[in-house]
Amino acid sequence: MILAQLNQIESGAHYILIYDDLITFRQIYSYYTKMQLEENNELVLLLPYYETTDTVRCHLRENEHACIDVRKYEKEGSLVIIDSVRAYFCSTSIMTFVERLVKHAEKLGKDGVTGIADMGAFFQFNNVKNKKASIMEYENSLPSKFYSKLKGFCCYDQKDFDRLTEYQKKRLLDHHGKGLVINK
Amino acid sequence: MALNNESIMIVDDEIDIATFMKLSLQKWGFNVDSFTDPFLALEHFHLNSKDYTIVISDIRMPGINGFEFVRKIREVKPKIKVLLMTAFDINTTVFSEELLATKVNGFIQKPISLKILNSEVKKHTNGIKPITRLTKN
Repeated sequence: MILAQLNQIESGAHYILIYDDLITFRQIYSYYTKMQLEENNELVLLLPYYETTDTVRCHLRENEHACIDVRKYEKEGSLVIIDSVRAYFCSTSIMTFVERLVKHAEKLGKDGVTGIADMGAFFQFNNVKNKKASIMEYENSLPSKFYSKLKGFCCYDQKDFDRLTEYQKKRLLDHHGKGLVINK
Repeated sequence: MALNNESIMIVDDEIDIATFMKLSLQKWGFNVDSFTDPFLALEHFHLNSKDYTIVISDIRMPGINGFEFVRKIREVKPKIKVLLMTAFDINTTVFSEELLATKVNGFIQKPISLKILNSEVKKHTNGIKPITRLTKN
């Protein structure tokens, strides 16, 4: 059901995706990354939080539905995997980086960019109030719909999402163009 | 039956890691309880804090991160020894800022060898003597 929905997603979509646990999330991102790389000729950006970039590579290679040649795609630049803490807090603006990736994808002859980002990094800060404020601030800085060559998924572990107030949850769900809840 | 009432609590949302560490430390004679759900671990700690001398917690866990978990543990038992473990780079600005607000006794970098795990735990468990198991003649 979810996989069928993912197949229908068009360029420009900005989804919020809430997953039940890491095992379920791994299945989804492995399958979707394979599809975007191999069938839809897209560049894929993965920003994990609850697993290392090497663990992600391992799952992409070894997941029975994926079996992705990670080394090949990383070498040609069509698969980019960065720890989300580095991506969000230790470098230039993530959206500036994504814009560069979109240009890079065009040079590579790709049809677009898909970004799959775990938002868990925003829950790492010390002060709870600031933390919630900063995730709302970040999300609000993104448009509800991206320009045509980009589609993005802001992914939340259900336990992180449940830390937000009802008002914040509603605002996040309303702000994103579309939402997906993935259960086990 | 446990011969020593001082125990080690392990908290890691990855069941393989929590189980591996628990079995390894038990093999060396420590009393160990492991949890994959930090909230259950906290609840258990509230009820049984006197039993624990050391807590070993992962940092990146959904729902509550390791730093927050440690602060909540310390509200219950301020002098408890705490080791944080992570598979990620700890030399980052974000990490340093978080660390300033949380006192910890040490770090364990994952993946960890059994030898290092044993020595790290022994360094911080003066009060805990591994249980001497009776062997059959």
